[in-house]
Amino acid sequence: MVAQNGLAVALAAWTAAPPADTLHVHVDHVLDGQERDWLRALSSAGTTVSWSARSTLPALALEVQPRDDPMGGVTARVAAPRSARVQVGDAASPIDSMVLDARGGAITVPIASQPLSVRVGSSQATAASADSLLARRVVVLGRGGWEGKFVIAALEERGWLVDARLAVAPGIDVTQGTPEMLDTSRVAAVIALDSAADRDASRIGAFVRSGGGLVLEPEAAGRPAFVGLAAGGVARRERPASITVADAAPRRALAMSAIAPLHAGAVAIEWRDGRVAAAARRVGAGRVIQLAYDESWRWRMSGGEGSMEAHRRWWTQVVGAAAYQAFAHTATSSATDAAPLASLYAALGAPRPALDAGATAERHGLHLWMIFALGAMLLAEWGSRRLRGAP
Amino acid sequence: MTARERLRRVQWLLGVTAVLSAASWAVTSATLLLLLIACADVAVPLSLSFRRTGLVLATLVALIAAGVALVRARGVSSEESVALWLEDHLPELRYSLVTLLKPVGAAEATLERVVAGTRWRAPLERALLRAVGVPLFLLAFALIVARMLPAGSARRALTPVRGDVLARTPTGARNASALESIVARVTPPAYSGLASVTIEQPTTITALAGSQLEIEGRRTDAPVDARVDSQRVAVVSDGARWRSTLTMPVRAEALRFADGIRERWVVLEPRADSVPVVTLTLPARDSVLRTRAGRIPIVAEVHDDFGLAGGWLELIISSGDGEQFRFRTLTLGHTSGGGARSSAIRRMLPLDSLRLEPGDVLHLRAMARDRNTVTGPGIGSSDTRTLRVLRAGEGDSVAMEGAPPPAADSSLLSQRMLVLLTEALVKQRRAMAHEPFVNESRRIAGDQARLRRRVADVIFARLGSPAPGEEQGGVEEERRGGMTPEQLLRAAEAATGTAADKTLDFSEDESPVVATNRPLLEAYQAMWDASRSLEIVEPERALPPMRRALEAIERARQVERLYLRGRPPVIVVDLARVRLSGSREGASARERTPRPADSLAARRLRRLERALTLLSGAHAPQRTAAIDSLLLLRVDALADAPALATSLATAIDVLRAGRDATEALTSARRALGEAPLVTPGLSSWGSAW
Amino acid sequence: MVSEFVFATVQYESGDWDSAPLVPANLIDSVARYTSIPVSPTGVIVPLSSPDLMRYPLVYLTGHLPVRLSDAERRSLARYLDRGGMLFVDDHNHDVDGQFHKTVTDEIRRAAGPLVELPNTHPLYTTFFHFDDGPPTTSQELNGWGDNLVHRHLMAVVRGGRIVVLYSNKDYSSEWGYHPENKRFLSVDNTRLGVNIVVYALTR
Repeated sequence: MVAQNGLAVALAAWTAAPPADTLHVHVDHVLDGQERDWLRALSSAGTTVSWSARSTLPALALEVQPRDDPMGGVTARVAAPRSARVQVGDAASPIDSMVLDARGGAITVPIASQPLSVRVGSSQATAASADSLLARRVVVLGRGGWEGKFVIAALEERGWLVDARLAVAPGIDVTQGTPEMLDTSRVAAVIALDSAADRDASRIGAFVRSGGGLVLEPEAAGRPAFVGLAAGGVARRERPASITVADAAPRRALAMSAIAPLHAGAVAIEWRDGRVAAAARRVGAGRVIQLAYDESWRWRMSGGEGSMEAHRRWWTQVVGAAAYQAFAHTATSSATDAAPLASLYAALGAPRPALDAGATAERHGLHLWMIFALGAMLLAEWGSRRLRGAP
Repeated sequence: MTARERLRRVQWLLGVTAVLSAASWAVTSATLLLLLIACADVAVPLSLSFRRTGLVLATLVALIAAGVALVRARGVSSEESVALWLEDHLPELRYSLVTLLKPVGAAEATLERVVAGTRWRAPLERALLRAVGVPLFLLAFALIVARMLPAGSARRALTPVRGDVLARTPTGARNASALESIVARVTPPAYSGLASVTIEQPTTITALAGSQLEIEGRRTDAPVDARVDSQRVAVVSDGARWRSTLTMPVRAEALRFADGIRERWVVLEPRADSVPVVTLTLPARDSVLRTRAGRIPIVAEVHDDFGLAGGWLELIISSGDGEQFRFRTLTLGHTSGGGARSSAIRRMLPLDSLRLEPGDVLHLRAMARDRNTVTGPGIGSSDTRTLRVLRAGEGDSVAMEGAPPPAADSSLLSQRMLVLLTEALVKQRRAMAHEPFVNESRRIAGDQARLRRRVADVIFARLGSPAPGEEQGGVEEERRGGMTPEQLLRAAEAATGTAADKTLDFSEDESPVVATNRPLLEAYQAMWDASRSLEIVEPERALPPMRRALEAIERARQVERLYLRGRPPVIVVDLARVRLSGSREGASARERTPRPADSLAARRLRRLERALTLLSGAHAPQRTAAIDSLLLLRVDALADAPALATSLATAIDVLRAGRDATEALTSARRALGEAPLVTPGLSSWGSAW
Repeated sequence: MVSEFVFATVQYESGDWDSAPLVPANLIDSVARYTSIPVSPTGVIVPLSSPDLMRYPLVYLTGHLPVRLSDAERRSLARYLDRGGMLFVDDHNHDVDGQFHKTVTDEIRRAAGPLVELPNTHPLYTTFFHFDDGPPTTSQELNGWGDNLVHRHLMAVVRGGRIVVLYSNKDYSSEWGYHPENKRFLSVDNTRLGVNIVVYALTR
């Protein structure tokens, strides 16, 4: 029946004076929430409702979650047909578009006026985050040195609350906060930089198994105390793959101790020249990220204009990938429609052809070409009369 | 008067009438067109360019009208035509006038009589009335209508100028806000030589810092409040206008107007006056001078954005070595910029006049000052060139290791500081109670005594022996207090076993050791005197010996010290040997203070997010509020985030014009921090990977 | 050893940047002597305008002669400080009327902002060794050289609660300018403030 806009109007008319007991809807786009709910209401009220589509409708689903980043923002995961061009926007304006090479993709949006929407062709899904993240601290353990200093700086400048213990001499540490209190009620993740974290290995292990996050740099990962937590072994240290810090691949300019071999259950999440540069592993309820880099500070100092910000973002991403996440539920927007095609199936069942012509309601709109033809005919008649001198 | 003479007179009169008619039609048609524009402007405000075009059109219409009138009256140039016109209007002439224009012989007298018997006045008056009266009537009508138009409407059509938006009376003016229309006049500082500019309906005023800004609006019953960063700006009412005058600030600010009906924001975006750019082209590089004679050419190029006030060369000559350096600062080559934007400083520097010594270093740079009398003057300088005078035998040196200095007592005050303290005490004598005064005087006496002991340490260290008795104080100290410097030195040398007679010959040929120590011994003696006066609370009497001690110390400084230093060997510290070998007594764990988050970026991020949320609202006030929020965010970003400020400016303009601002907003989102990060595929680990 | 601390002396185009050649080794010795911080056994010299400056987040600058930075040096320094580097400047003249003081403070103001007095309760003085009275007085201040004033405070440019430029009028370049082997003659090591500066830079 209605494949154009204005289905809601036609449904209202149908509802006011139903011409038949059977309603078949033939659509060329995925129905929106209001149309779908209306049809479901008609179905519940006794009308037999069926639907069909002119062509294959794109299956689209959207999930929005808060980004684990003190700067805020959200991450949207999108499921859509392969090779589809997905346009992402929020309540204010379009934000970006992406072409999916698989059946899904993710986009992290630092500024979003929720709800977010994704559009493929004429189909649109909208969703808003139902939760917000509760702030937890990050604990940095290591020796006094540039890496520790700049890792803490990057996290603090990004807005993380950091506790730290930097050993400078036997029995003498520079501390911040209470780094010895490792508990998921206050700490999201621990970053162990080097052998100075050895003395806390057992407490860190318990923390991770109870759900906490752990980030290991090579020296710490290679220590016997952390073998049970590391995602893999630590290979010999390699020189940087690049002399200059290029914005496109800044970590190529860092020395690296590749992660090899990977332990069972670990997944490689970053490669460099065929070797694993970052790996992740679940230990108990917690997550561990092992890095192959131990001088990330050089990226911040020697990189291009945006390297400071990129370094902060990367460390936030590393910590966010391991951190214990505590959510607080927030109000859910009612104006969302996260998976419109799935919802249509759920509401009206699978599509099927129209049962019979008599039961199909069709709205015949006065098409533009008909108006144009009528106008042209009138004009011809008027011209003809003028030429003939007829009144 | 013959018929022909009468005809010529009529021809002249008709010619004048034609000209008058053409002029009248020209004026009238132009006036009517301008009236039409004025009426349209009353209904819908017409832009300045449209009204200026109307003025041009009115001129064209006037010319066309005049031309048409003249073409229609072209017959007056021919006597035959005029005669025929008269024959047409005076049938009683019975073609006698036309006939007379040709040779008719004997009938001429008869025809003359016929013509003379007719009166031509009436058709001429009618012709004049028709030719001039109609256009004048229309002109009068137009003027009456124009007079009935709202005030200022006719002026806007007749003399369109930037800023005349205030001359237009808005329709429905009863509840209109005083901020509906505003006009800003920007008068740049005089030194810039820039002309004044008028801006209608400004959202951003970009001008040189220090420019005078005059912002005007239409006066209504509601008073206008103007503020910059919560500071009120004076608003004066003048007839039908309100006016606010302020100076363009040095950093970007938002100027807020409010009148109880609406508010309006204007961004004040200062343009900084650049300091002069000075490039020293000669000498082109640092160098070493082998001789101290000759002349060095110096050339510097100077540029400024608004004009130079002057330029000069600055020289610093460093003399000395080791721990003693003297500096002389000279300026030369003063040139007047004369307001030019580019200039050059050229000078030959005669080295002889600088009295350079071997080893001296000449630091040379060019400087220039601009004419900025408001926020300046801006002073620019070139890179510095260093010219060093070669020493004789340079390169011959002996490497030796410096010895560690003796441990210093941080509680000691220098002699100069003690003099300053004592002078302050003397000044405060009247205002101070007796007891604190006594305590302070004795405290300074204590410091003076300790410094005296320190000087004694130095003297005796040089003589190769610890200062005997100083540590014990008491009797020994008192005994030494009465000694002259010579006696003291004798005592010192007696203690070290040196023959006093030989070394105490304080003649012109005195030994370097004595020459070095003599001023310090004098200082030592003067300090004794000062200590005693301070102890008995007579600081005024203490001051002269304290100053003598200071002067003696200064003299001791002047004694030449020789430092032998070649290229020091590269020292490789044996880390394994020294690692943790030191005593860490007094060292302990410390709390680190956290770094503040980059709250500026976070705050701006949230501000843009809120503005975008407002922008997505359906209601006009929400959009207006969103635009105002973007405008204020722009003010915040102008100083340190130019890319963001530019994107926001575009977004604001586009939104105000009611167009699609997606591109500008996307640009602003990205300028603010980071672009959206697209991750292909759905990772099993997390969104980031 | 990875990420070890390398003591870097800044080389600038004007002036005598190399006037205190023994200070680096002396401070390296002290850092090793008192702390467990990995440290390179030799210092390096790094031109102020070189990109290599970014490899050394703490650098030391001294001299007697006027310091006039080139545009490239000034830009490099500003970028270095923005990124998180720390510059320690010592007036080898110990003279507030001297040209080094006048010119280098002007350059610091242009590149980083105005210097302010660092309170003697600043964490710099307690970050390892404790200096209850602030910066230790040097023998150069007491023996009548330079401006003949005992400077009670160091100066600093502080950003976000962190010292980015530390400036001393106290002539530590003379005070610490001796071979580390001679440290054995001292009853109290006079380079201990240098250890605090290094530890502060490495942990803040």
